[in-house]
Order: sequence, then C-alpha cells, then structure tokens
Amino acid sequence: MKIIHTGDIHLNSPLESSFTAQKAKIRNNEIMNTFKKTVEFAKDNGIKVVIIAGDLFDCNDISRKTEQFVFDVVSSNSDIDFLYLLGNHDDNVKYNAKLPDNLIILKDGEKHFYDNVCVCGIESYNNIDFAADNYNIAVMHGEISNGYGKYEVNLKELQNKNIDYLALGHIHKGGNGKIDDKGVYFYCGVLDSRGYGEYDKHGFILVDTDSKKYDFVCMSSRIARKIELDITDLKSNLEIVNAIEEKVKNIEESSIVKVVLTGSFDEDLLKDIKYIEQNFEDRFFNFKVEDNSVIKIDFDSYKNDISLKGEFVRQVQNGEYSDEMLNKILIAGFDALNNEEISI
Amino acid sequence: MKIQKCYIENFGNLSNFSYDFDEKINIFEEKNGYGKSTLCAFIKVMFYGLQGVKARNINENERKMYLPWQGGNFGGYLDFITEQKSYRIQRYFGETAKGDSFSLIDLLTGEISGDFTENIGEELFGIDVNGFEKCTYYTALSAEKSVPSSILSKLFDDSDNVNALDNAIKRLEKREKQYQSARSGEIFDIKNKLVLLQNDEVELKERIKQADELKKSLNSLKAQKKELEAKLEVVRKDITASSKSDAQNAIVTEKIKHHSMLVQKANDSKDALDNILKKYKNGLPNEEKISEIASMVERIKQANSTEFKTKGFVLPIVLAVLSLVLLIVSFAVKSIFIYSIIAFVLMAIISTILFVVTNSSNKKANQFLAEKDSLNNEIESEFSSIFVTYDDDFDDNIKTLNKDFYEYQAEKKKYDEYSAQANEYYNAEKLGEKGESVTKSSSDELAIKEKQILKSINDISYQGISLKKDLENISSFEEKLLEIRREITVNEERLKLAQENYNAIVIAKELIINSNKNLSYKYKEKINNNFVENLNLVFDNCEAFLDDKFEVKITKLGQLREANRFSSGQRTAIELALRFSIIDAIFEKEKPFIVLDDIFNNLDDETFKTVTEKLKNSSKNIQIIYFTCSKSRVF
Repeated sequence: MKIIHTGDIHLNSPLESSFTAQKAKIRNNEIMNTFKKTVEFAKDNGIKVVIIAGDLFDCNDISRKTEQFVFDVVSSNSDIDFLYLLGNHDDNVKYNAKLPDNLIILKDGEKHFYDNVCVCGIESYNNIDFAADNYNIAVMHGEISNGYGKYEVNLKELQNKNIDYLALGHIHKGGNGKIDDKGVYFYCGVLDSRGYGEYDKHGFILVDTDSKKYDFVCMSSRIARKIELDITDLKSNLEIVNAIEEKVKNIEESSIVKVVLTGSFDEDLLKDIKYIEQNFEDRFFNFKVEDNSVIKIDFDSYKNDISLKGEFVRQVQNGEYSDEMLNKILIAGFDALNNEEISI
Repeated sequence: MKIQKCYIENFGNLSNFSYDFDEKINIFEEKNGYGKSTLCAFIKVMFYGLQGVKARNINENERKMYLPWQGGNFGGYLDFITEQKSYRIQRYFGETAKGDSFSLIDLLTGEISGDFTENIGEELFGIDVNGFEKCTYYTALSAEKSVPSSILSKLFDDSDNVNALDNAIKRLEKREKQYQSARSGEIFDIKNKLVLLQNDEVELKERIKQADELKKSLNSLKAQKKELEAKLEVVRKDITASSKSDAQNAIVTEKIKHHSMLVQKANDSKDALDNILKKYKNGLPNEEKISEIASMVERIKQANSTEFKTKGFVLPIVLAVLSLVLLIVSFAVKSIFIYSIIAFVLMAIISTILFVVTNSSNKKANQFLAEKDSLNNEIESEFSSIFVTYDDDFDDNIKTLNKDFYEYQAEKKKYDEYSAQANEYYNAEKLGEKGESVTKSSSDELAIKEKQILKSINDISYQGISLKKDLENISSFEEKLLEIRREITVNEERLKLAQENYNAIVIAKELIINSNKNLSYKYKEKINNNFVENLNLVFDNCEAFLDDKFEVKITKLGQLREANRFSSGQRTAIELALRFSIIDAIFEKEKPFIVLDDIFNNLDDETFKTVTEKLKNSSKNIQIIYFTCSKSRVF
C-alpha cells in the first residue's frame, strides 16, 4: 500500500516577518490549500493513510477558521485515516469542535494496522514493539542525535527493532538515512515553504510499503530561494544591483527570494540596502537583502598609521568583539571620522 | 637617515635623472614643470611602493599617474644611509603589481640585503605612507593657507578641519540619540510599540477565549427563541380557532354577559342587604320582635301622652290645717264650736278624702311613671341590643326597623331570585366549560399574548445578532492576533538590530575618544616639548607654546597672541618649526628628510634671510630637500 508521510505544515503561522500583512495572509491561504491538495492527491491515488509527523499547526491556540478548514478537509475524506503525531508546536491544541473520527491522534506505543502495515507513534523507546513480519512504520517528531531529549531521536535505540520506515518530523529540510539493515528514516520537511529559511522545493514522501520505494512529491506552491553574492570586488550600489540581476534573472516571479551579501567592502562604498531591494521587490512575491558583508580592513596597514583613524582601528582590533559587532563599530567609526552620516 | 643618491630611469616626466644628495641641505632651483613633485613622489615610492594601485581615478592611482611619459623601464633606485650603513632600494614597476620588483642592496657588499622588506618605509620610519607624506612634505600651497595647528588636524585627523574630532563625536552622538535618548528614539519607540502589541495580544486572546461563553449564550438564546416560537404557534392556533368560532363565542359571550348580569343583580341585592344589616348588631330582628317592640313603643307613646301627674298634698294639708284651726277655733270660740267642729269634721273628712285620693292618685301616677320608665328602659334595651346606633326617637327607630325589615325582605327575595336564576342559567347553559375556554382564549387577550411573545422573540433576535457579531469579530480577532504576532516578531527583530547598532555606535564613540587621548599622550606632548626649541630656529627669543587644542600662542609685545594674528610669512616660519617638532616626535627610529617645496615665497627678505640662516646653521639633523623656482629664494 501507499502512504503519505508529511508533517511540519505549521498552519496558522504568523509567517515571515518581512512579509506584509497582506502577503502573509495570501501565503497562509496558499499553504492551507497545499494541505488540501495533498489530501486530494491521496484521494485521487487511493491512498488510505496520511501520516502527519507533528506540527500540523504552528501553535496551540489556532483560529477557528483554521480548525474548521482542517476538520472539513479531513472529514470530507472519511475513508482516509489521518494519523497525527503531536509536535513541539501543537502539543496541546484546544479544539472548539469535536475531532473528525478519521483524524487520529497517535498515542505513544499505540499501533494502527492496515493489513500488514503497522503504524505506531513513538515517544518512549520502551514502547517499541513491532512484529517482524509486518511492515512497521514508526512516527516520531525530533532530530536524529545522540541525545535523549524530548525532540531528539536516538537512532541507536531504534536499531534492530523491526522498523522498516521511520517517519520523522521537526526538521524543516528533507533528508534521509539508514537506521539499520532493515529500516530507513526520512524527514519529510515542511509541506510548503513559509518563507526564508525553508528554501527550495518541499512536499511529502510517498511511501510504498510493498516495493519499499520512497519518493518525494513536490507540493510547493511557491519556492523560496537563497542567493549568495560576494560583493568584495563591487564598488557601488549599482554594481551590486547588476550583479544580483545576473543571479536572479532565471528565478520564477512567484518565488520568495533572499539575496545574502557576503565578502568585504571598501569603507567608501555606502551600501543602500533599501535601494537595492527596491529594484527587485516588484518582480518577486517577496524580495529581501540580507547584508552579511564586512568592511574591508587590513589591520596590518594601520599598524603605523599615526592618524586618529589608525589609532581607532588599533583600538578596535585590541578589543574583544564578535565579528558582527567589530564590523558595525568599524563602519560607525569610519563614517564618523570621514564626516559622513552614520550608516548603521 | 640620509638620502645619498637617486637615479630615475623612467618615472612620470623624469627620465634618466640622477642626483647626489647633500646630507644637510639640497636646493633645487628649477622652473615650473621641472618635475619636482615627480621627484618627491619617486623618493616616497622607493620607500613605500606605488599607492592607490586599484583606484580608477588617475590622481589616486600612482601607477597610472607616474607611468613614464616616454615609456621604458618604469622605476629606478635610491641610495640612503641609516645607522652608518648604506643601502640601495631598487624598484621597477610593471603594468600591474605582478610586474613590480623590489630589491635592497647592501652598498658595502653589493649583496642583496634582507635587513628590510618591501615595506621598508614603515620598517625604517615606523609610520605609514600617509603619515610620512603629511609629516615630510611641506608645500607652497599649505604654506600659503597655513594655519599651523591645522597640520596636526591633517596629520592626526586626516582632514583640514581642526574640529574633525568634535564633528566625528557629534555625528555619533546624534545617531546615538536617534536610537535612544531619555524618552525618545527608535529603541524607545520600538519598545513602546512592543508593549502595545503585547497588550493587544493579551487582550485579543482574552476576547477570543470569550468565544466559548458567547457560543453558549447564543445557543441558550436559540433555545429560548425556539420555545417562544412554539408558544407563539399555540397562541396563533388559538387565535385562528377563536376567530373561527366567533359567532359561537359571541353567543356564549352574550350568555356569559347575561349570567354576569344576573350575578351582578344578585350581588347588588346582596350589597343592599349588607347595607341594611350593617346597622344591626345581630342581624335584623324578626317581625314578631319588631311588633313587640313597636307595641312597647306605642304604649310608651300613650304613656307619654297621658298626663299622670302626682298631686301635691297641699290642699289636704291646708284643709287639715284648717280643720285643726277650726278645731282649735271651735274650742276657742265656743260660739261657733259646732260650726267649727262641723267644719273641722268636714274639712278633716275632706282633707282625709283629699289626702287619700291624692295619695291614691299619686300612687297610681307613680306606678304609671314607674311602669313607663320601665317600659322606656326596656325599649332602650331592645334598641341597644338591636341597633349599632339608634335614635332617641323610638318611633323613628321602629319606623327604621319596619322599613329595613320590609326592605330586607324585598331585597332578600330579589337576591334569592337572582342567585337562583344565575345558577340555573349557568348550569343550564353549561357555562362552566364554554365560558372558561372563551374567557381564556378571548381574542383580545390572545392578541396581547401574541404581541408579548413577538416582542420577546424580537428582543432575543437582537441579542442573538449582537452575539453573532461578536463571534464574527472573534474570527477577525483571530486574524488580527496572527497579524499582531507577526508584528511582534518584526519589532523584536528591529529592536535587536537597533540595540546592536546603538551599542556599536556607543563603543565607536568611546574608542574614538580614547584614540584621541592616546594620540595626545603619545605625540602631542612631545611635539609641544620640542616646539619652542624649534621655533627659535626661525624666531629670535620668542615665547610660544601650544595649547590643549594645539593652537599656537606666541608672546609678542608682551601679549600672548594666536599664530594666525601674524603675517603669512611669520606663520610659515611657525609652521616650519611645528613641522620639525612633529618630525622629532613622530619619527622615533629614523629621522627622515623634509621636503620644502617653495615655501618661502611669502617671506619678506629679512625674514627669509633670518630663517634660512638658522636652517643652515641648525643643529637639527634633518636632511632638507628644498625646491624653489625663484633665484631670490635660493639660500
């Protein structure tokens, strides 16, 4: 049989802080729609089980609208079981209405059988008890690690426990690996990107228990892209804009784009991030510039500089500052000593 | 350090140029365009290499600026002696830095020396190229607009502005205040906004929680409305039913009216009876009794009309007395004795008879009166026991009794008749069933009831609408809550950034202030200490000092005056002294040369002579390279 493994949908999220209120609303609706389309996919493909590996909702106090939407989608597909493991964001949701019968909260160690397929939510390693002749799916919400924290998944504890498929949630980027000779684990990643930090394509994992094939199905309604641009050799805002243009020219207009400036810049380059953003903000759904570039400073060249600036640079160098703070101090100091408006 | 020789193969407009330097004073008297700036630049480049090689502006890019006009090998060499050792710096430059070469040769051995690297300038002088230039090059331009203390600004602050430090601090403080001052600034505003947003968040959460209560209230209202609507249906059915049997109801109503009329009449009679009876203590006496009392009253009336007086015994007594008198007289007057006796006897008899008669009459009268009184009392007693209040006139009382009796009888009769009729009618028409239902479902009452129910339903509907609106608002509250959470995140990020920037600005300000103090400590004191000594190189017997702001103050004619109060020539001399002081203070390791580029043009001949004589005889071990295009300014 085929099973959908999804999770980290984070419905009812405030979303990206750089979105306007209107865009946030649009995006929220799009993500809700993606959930609906996922269920439609299940229906169209005769899939009887959808595993939600945590964080269906972004918080515990969800809106009625969101609750009603999810319940409507679930209850109108009553022949599909939605096996829902609570995550760290939605571990205590207070619902206003009764849960649809086919929205089943997975309890620790409680098994659900579909022919020879057994699905079980796992919170305690002591409750793992799978029969060898079944296709066993364990569902957990956490990150693979060596620890034993609430949202840590210790692979060693899961080895040799007849687990064929470990359906994981919590990590927003997809990924997979082996548990042991028998079983594999998959992070489904988010179902649809909420914004920056959830880049590239997202969707769910289609698990084929018979052939033991695990396919990624893309459900992204919008894709978030991150572009890095080294501005070390760029001398003006216009050059930066042109360089960005070169990098984003093939990106779909529906995308959510972030350009990260890296490298170093001369102190006489007066970066205007707002100006740079304005050149692209109408082209994409959302466009943002993150400036991680640092002011170019050769501390050695200031070693014998008798000027105030030289002494200032030496003082900065001798201080114990983080890279980010050091950069800001230098920018502020140079602007001041150059009799320019302080640009930070 | 002393320059011994330079050879320029090709550098700018100079080609195949060679010069042997004097260890003290080197005077170049050449026309404009000779290439003195190029020569100065060559000397600097030999020690520090080409500067601004990445700049696009030719004036900043020395590689472009000094590219040989005539082509050929770009570069040359310079021989110098330091710590009694002679070296040759040889540099040649390509089109790019890759094509550059440097070598340091020990002139004694002719071997390559590793005593200094390509950074020989910094290694030798302990100062970077900018500082070197500022310290060692004194041009005519700066001499003309010389403000002595400005060289220090230029030197330390890299500007012509003596207030560069103050301006820097002001800019930082301005930006600092924009971020945060006592009750304003970006950080203050963001924090305030966050507080408001967080309060809004709490308030919205509370209002959303109330949704459950609202829902319960709404459900309750719905139930109430349903109940009322059911009642309304019943009432309306009754109205319908009542409108269908109106005719029947009218008849029944009429019958009820008739019955009511009979009852009313009976009641009226009853009231009349009660009115009569309330005069009497124990009800009306019966007819017999009334008769009895009436006859008593009649007797008393008769008695009252009969005059039964008691007579007095005066006549009998008088007669008795007369008779006595007559007796006495008879005895007294014997002549009339018989007559007196007869009179006496007659009088006595008459008196006695009168007495007896009067007594008897009086007895009868008394008895009559007594009987009359007794009767009176009896009647009184009767009336008192009958009436609540009664008249003194017995006759009236009897009349009242009779009247009331007959009236009572009449009213009683009426009452009995009407009551009987009402009962008979009631039973006969079965008004107990029909009358009650009609009474209960009379059209007017039903209409009133219907109106009341409708009003109640309306009120509930209004309440329901209001609750529904609140519930709808809660939906919008939930959306608003999401938006507020997003805004909170945005503002938290802004706050973090603002605080980081603010902290950086505060630190930058502190460091700049500290840097200035350090420089002051490191250089300015030394400069100040050397200044007076150096000033005497150019001025005789003057008292001068540098104040805290490095303003030159000189005593002239007994008064302390600022340097800019002096003539331009004198200022040139002052600046020269200052420059020597700077070189003394800054160049700790090796004293470099000083390039004086036509700086004496503005000196009068006498001052020129004085200054240059002093320079020539100066014990300062600073090599002077002097350029001038005027013979008169050769010394």
